[in-house]
Parts: sequence; C-alpha cells; structure tokens
Amino acid sequence: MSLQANKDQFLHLIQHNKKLIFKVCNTYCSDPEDRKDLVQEVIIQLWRSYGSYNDKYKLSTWMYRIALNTAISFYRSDNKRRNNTTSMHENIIDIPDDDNSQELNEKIAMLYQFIGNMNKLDKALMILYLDNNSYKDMADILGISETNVATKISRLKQYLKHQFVKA
Amino acid sequence: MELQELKNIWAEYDRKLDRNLHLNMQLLRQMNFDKVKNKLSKLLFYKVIEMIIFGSAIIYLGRFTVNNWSVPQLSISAIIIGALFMVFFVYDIKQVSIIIQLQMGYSSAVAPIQKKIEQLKLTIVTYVKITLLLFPLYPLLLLLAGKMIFNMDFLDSRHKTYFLSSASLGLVLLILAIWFLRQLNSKNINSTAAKILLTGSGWYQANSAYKFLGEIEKFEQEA
Repeated sequence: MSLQANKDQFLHLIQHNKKLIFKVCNTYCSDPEDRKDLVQEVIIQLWRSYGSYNDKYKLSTWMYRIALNTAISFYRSDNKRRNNTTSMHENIIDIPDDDNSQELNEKIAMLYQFIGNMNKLDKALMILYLDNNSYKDMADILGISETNVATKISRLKQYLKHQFVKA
Repeated sequence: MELQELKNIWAEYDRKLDRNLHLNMQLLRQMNFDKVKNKLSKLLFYKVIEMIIFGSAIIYLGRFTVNNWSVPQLSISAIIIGALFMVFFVYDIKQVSIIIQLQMGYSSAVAPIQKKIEQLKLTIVTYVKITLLLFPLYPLLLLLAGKMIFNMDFLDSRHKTYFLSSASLGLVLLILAIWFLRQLNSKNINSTAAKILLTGSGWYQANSAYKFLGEIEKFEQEA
C-alpha cells in the first residue's frame, strides 16, 4: 500500500475515533492550549504505531493504550512537549459551544473536575468505565487483572458518588 | 446523585459529541507526519556510543593494569577508575534495554509502559549521581593519563608537590561528593540547602518518578 493510501486510511481512522481522543485529552488537560498540543501529540503517536498495529488486539484497545500513555507522559513532561508539536492557532478536534445543553455542560464540567482530582491511573480507569468498556478490555488496556479492575471501579464509584453528594 | 445517573450524563455527553464534535481535516492534513522523530532513538544512539567508549576504556584499563601490576599506584588507580567505568557500562546496558522496550511505542498496556518510563528516568538520574564521583577521583585520572599519554610519572620528585596538592583537593572533593550524595534522599528534600544544591540536578524529576512508580506498583497490586 502506498504511503498516501496508508495516510488516508489513518486520517479516516482518526475521523472515526475523534471522540475517544477528545475525551482522553479533555480528562488529562484542563488548559485549552495544552489540550491542543496533547491532541496533536496523541495523533502523532498513533501515526508512529500505526504501521505496527497488531490485530490480535481490538482497535479501540490499541487506541486507548496510545492515547492514555501519551496523555499520562505528556502531563508529566510539559517543558519538553512543545518540541515535538507544531504551534497551531486552531484545534484539530473541537466542540462548538452549545447553549442548548447548559445543564449538561455544568454536570459534565463537574464530572471532569472530580475525575481531574483522581490520580493519573485512576483517571484512565474512570474514562474506560464511563465509556462502557468491559472489565476484560479495561484490564487489557491498563495491564492489570480483571479482579483488580473490579475492585478499583467499585472504589472509584464510591468516590464519585461521595463527591456528587458533597457538591 | 445515583451512579446510573452519572452514566446517563456521560452517555448524553457522548451523544452530544457525536452531534457536535468537529475534526479539522485540513489542519490534520497539514501536520507533517513524515518529520515525526522518535526522541528515544536519539537517546539510544548516545547510550550506544557511551557503551562503546566505556567498553573500550574498560578493556584498555584492564590491559594497563596487567602491564603495570608491579606499580601499585598505577594498577590500583586503573582498577578504581575501571570499576567506576564498569558501573557506567552496566547502567548504560540497563538504559539501552529499557529504551529498546519503549521504542515499540505506546501501544503496550498503560501500567507496565509507564513503569518502564519511570524506571528509565530513575536510572538516568542515578547515572548522573555516579558521575559526581569522577570529580574527586581526578588525581587518579591525572596519574593514569600522565603515564598513558606522556609516559610521565606524577609521583616522581619533580611532580610530587603538584600531585599531592591535587590529591588533597581530590580528598576535599570526595568528602563534598559524599555529603552531596547523602543530601539526595527524600528526608532532606525540603531543606533549603538541598533545594539550592539540587536545582537542575534532575533530583526533583527523579523524586516525582519514584513517587509515580510507587503509584503504579500500588495500582498493579491492589486487589
């Protein structure tokens, strides 16, 4: 397959999975400028691994792993991260303001805030849980056992419930 | 708020993203994917070069020790420096092995790959700390370099004063290096002296790497 055809296929993949990238980046970066860079970095890392995609894993598992690994590493190396990305004035993935769903926006902002207070690995687990991934998929993506996933999810659910009651 | 409600909010948000999320294809196409370079490749290159240099130096020092076995000041100096180079060499192997594993990209499971990244950071900082030991050992390097390059003996009567003053300075530097290394522990991390000393040394990065490594291990084990 030619490089161009390969690239077109990759862009198509990004188009179909933009939601996953957006949610991961939004969880790890609250600053809009940083988020622009992170989205770019995730896409770069996906492209780097695209040629070696192993189809024994689900495509979503592969994408989550790369997006989460990039977001966690990016989050901790902010001084160096801009070397790899190009400064862009616009967002690659963007969501226009939607005034019709003000109530939803507030609830989502609160949910992101609570998730934002979790540690980096718990954040990953929470996104996977909210995105309705199975325990097996979560275990595959994170590299821990299914039992461990179940225990942690139950603790995180308690934590979130408590936070919402307090708020 | 019930948990089901929480999931409902997320599902509604998901639908909102389906409707509104926009991917700027033009911007995406403008991204220069071909220029993407792996920073790890550069680090791997440097580490391999270091390994070659240290490996050659160890072999050379080994032969030098054998040839000068009867001259204790030279053979002992060569053994000490050789041992230090050996430590560098072992740390290089350790780093190269982690870098090769990381080069497979971010497509491995999250917890193990993050653990490797943190281990690499800690190894790099330990390497820098060991480098500190080279400074107080410079009189030994001077002695060896004098013999190897100029066939000169710094312990003969003409150079003895110069060598002894270097050795005294080396001893002071050794005490300073040991004191400095002792400061590099988590108990002292908040003291003003440690903060001044450690700025730019990579210790803070190592400390946060160590902390995160602990979090990952807890995350992996807690069941």
